[in-house]
Amino acid sequence: MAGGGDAAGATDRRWGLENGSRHRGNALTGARILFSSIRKVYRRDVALSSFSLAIEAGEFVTLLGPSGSGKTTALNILAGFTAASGGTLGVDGKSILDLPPEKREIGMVFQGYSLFPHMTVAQNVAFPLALRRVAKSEIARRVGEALEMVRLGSFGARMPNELSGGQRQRVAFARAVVFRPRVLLMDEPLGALDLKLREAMQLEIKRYHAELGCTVIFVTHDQGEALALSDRIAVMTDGEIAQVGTPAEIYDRPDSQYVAEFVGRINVFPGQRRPGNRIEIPDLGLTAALPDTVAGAAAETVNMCVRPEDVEIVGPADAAGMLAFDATVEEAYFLGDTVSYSVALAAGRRITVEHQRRASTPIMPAGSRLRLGIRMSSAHYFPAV
Amino acid sequence: MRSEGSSAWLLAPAALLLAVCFVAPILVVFRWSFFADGPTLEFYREIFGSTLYRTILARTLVFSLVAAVLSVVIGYPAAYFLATRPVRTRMNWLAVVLLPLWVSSLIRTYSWLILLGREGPANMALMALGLTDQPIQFLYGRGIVYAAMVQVLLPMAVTIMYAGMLSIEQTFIKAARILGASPAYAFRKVFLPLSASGITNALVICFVLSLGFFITPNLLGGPREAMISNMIDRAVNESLEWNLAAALGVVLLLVGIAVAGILAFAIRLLTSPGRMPR
Repeated sequence: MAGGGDAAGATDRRWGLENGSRHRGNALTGARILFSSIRKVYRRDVALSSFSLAIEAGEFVTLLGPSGSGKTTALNILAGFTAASGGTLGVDGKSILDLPPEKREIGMVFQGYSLFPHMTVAQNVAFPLALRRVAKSEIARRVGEALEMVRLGSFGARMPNELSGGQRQRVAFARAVVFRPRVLLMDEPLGALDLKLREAMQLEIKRYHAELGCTVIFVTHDQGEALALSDRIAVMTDGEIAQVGTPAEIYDRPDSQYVAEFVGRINVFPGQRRPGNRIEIPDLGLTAALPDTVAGAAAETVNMCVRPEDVEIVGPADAAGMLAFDATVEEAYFLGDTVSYSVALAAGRRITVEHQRRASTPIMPAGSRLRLGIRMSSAHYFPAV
Repeated sequence: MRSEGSSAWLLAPAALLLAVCFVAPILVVFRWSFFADGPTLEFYREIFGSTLYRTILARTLVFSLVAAVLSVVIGYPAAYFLATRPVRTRMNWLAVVLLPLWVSSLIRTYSWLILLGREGPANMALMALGLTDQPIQFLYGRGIVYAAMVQVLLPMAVTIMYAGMLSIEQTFIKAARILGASPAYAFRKVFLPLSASGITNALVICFVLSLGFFITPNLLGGPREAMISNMIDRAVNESLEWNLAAALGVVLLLVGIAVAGILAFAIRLLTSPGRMPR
C-alpha cells in the first residue's frame, strides 16, 4: 500500500489513529482473535467441531467453504448471536463468550446489508454513535466522514430503498465501522451484487481495510473473492478447518484433495503406488517417481492432481523432465486472455487445459491432436479416499 | 405506465360489485338521512339533541376503542411470537390462532352465556371449590362485553399484525444488537417502528368492526350496555324510523372515519424511533 504522505496522515487523524501508523498488522488498531476448540452442536448436527484459529491484529482472514461448512456458525459465535457449546474465544486475550453482542464492540456487515428501512442513510450510520452517547455535533461529523469514506457524502438524507445495491453495501460498511470497532465481520457481503460491481467492491474493501487497520473476518463461499482479498484463508468443510494459509499457499500447496478442488479447478488422475516409491497412472499410460513426502503403504491408491494451467501444450522436443502424453481437443472455451480446452486422453478420461494466449495465439479447434506435458513439481498427490 | 392502463380491467369485477352493493346503498342512506318530505336536518337534530343517543354514541366509541386497543395490546406479543418462529412451524401456530374463526361469533357469544350463567360451569366450579357461596354475576355488564369483543377480534388483530411483521427481517434486530443496542432498545427503535403500520391496520380494523357489534352487547351486556348498532336495529326493525336509522348510520360512519384517522396518526407518533440526527 502507498503508506505515508499527507493523504495517509489525514486519514489517520480522521479515524483517530493518533500514532499515525497505519500499515497492516498494526496492533494498536486491530484486535487479536483466538478461537480455541470452539464447538457448536445442535440437537442432531455438529455445526462446528473444535474450531481453532489465531488471527493477528489487523489481519484480513477469510473463512471459505460451502454452505453448511460451519463458517457462518463461527462468525455468529464471534458476533454473539450463537452460543458456543464448548471452547474459548478471546479478543486481545479477554474471553468474550459471556458478553451479549452489544457489549462486544464488533462491527458487522450482513449479507442483505440489514439497513434499517425506516431511517435515512445518515440515521442508519448514526445509530451506533447515538447508542454510545456521542455528542450531537460529533455524531454529525463522524457520520459525514464515514459516508465520505464510502464516497456517499451527499447521500445522508436518502432512504435505503432509494439506493442501488452497491450503495447500500457501502452504507452498511460505513455503519459497521463508524464507531471504530477493532474487529469487523463481513458475512458474504458481496453475495447480492452482480459480477462487475463485486469486483469493484473487492477493491473498495481492500482500501477500507488498509485505511482502518481493523481485523477483518470475511465469510464467503466464493473462492475468487477469498483469494483476491485475504491475508490468510481458512478453508472449511463439515464444521472443521481443512487448511489455513495465505492465498498462494492454499492455491499452490493444498493439503488435501478437498482444498485443491474447492479452491480453483484441478484435474484428478487416479493412480496406483508401485514399489520404489513410484506411481502408475493408467490414464496416461505411464509411471512416475513420487515425492518422498507422500506417505502411505505400498499399493495404496494415490490421486495425482494438476491445475489446468499447469498442463502445458508442448512440442515433442520440450517434454524433457515432464510427464508428456497425447490428447485430442473436444471443446475449446474462449475466455479472452485464456482458452480453456476440454481434452480427451487416449484412455478416455477428460481433463481441462488452460492455455494463456495473446492476440496472435491461434485457438485449436475440436479434433486437434495435442502433445501435453506436466512438470512433476506442479503435480499434487493425495491418498484416494 | 402502459401496463397499468391495459390491466385496469382486472379491477372491473370488484369495482362493479362495490359500486352496486356498497357505494350505491351508502348514497341511498345518506339521502334518507337528509330527506323526509323535503330536505331536512331534523333527524340529526333528534340524534344530537337527545341525551340518550349522545350517551350511546359516546359509549359505542369508548367500547370500540377499548376493545380495539385491548385486542392489539394482547395480540401484539402473540403476533411477535408467530413472526419470529422458523418458517416450518409458523403455519401451525397461525392455524391455532385462526381456529376460533371456524366457529361463528354468534355461537361464541352464546357460549359465554352458557359458560358464565348463574348455573353455568364457571359458577358451579367456583361454588364446588368453596370460593363463593352465591353465584357470581358475570353477565350483563361492561367487563363481559369487553371480554367477548376482544375474543372475537383477537384472531383478526394477531393475523393483521403478524402479516405486517413478516416483512421485518430478523437480521434487523441482529444488526441493531451488534451495533450496540440492548434487546429492549433494538425493539423500541427498530422492530416497533417497523411494525407500526401493522398495529395501525389492526387497530383501525378492530375499531371499525367493533362499531358494528350488536349481538355481543345485546346478549351479554343487556340493555344498559346498548351500542349504536342496537339503536339502529331498533329504529329499523321496531319503530320503523328509517330516516333516523340512516342518520345514525351516517353519524357512525363519519365518526368512525375520523377516529380511525386519529388512531393512525397517534400510532405513527407513538412508535417513531424518535429524534435522530438528520
